[in-house]
Amino acid sequence: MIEIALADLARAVDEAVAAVPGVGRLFASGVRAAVGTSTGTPAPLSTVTRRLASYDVIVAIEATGGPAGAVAAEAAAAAATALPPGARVTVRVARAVVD
Amino acid sequence: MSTPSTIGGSGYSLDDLSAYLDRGRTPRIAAIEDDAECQAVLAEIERLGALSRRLVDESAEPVEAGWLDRLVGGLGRELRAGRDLPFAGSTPERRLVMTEGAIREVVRRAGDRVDGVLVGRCRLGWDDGTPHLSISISVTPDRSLPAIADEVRAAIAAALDRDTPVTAAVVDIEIEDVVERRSS
Repeated sequence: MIEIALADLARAVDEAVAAVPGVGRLFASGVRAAVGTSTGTPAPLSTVTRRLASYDVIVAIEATGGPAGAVAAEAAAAAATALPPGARVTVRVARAVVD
Repeated sequence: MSTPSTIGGSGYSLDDLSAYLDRGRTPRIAAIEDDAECQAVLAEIERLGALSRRLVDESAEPVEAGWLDRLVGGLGRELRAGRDLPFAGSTPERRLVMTEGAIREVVRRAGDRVDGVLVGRCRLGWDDGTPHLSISISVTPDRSLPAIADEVRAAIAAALDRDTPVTAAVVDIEIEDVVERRSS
């Protein structure tokens, strides 16, 4: 059985999104909200996947490069690479600071 | 959950944020630093402060007391996140959205980049599905006022088109204050 620590999953999503060019600050990650607050204990991947499928995983970003819509698309693609297949991702541009 | 007097989910008011800024953002308050609306408000207070100081310094006439307070006073409301608006290309599996507060911040920054302009109020609404922006500005009358308004309108349209899901917006501009520059 494959197990995954939810904290690691949330961290992986945050790191994947933060590495996208044009993403500045990350605000509250919705991964933690989606999978629950008790994130330190490894859980079966099937359980994690089922729980994620019931939620939108929301990642709120500050776009510092533009266009902000393109940055959001790249952030969503990056988040998806760190999530189990089938997880729905919402990238919310909470600020766009593109000077 | 925020209340009308607090910013975002931080539990802090506009006055609290202003005081936090005055203290040099120390000691660090995570609830403020990790909240998008607080960050937007802090950035706007700093920018408004710098731009207004420049206008006031250049002004030939004393500027009305409370002018800056009035400008800052509406920030908490205007930068509230509000609804999520989808970008083109958003799908149910990968939703790409921008908050109304972030859009208003883009508008404010675009207007403020025009020389001699300081954006005051910024409202985003909808008329039969068409986005409708209503902004007020303070200006230095170095050029004709219609020319300044046209420049602001063009700057906002370009910024909206580039960085937001809102395009083809109707932009109403009210010139609220005219600040005469000192002759050098």
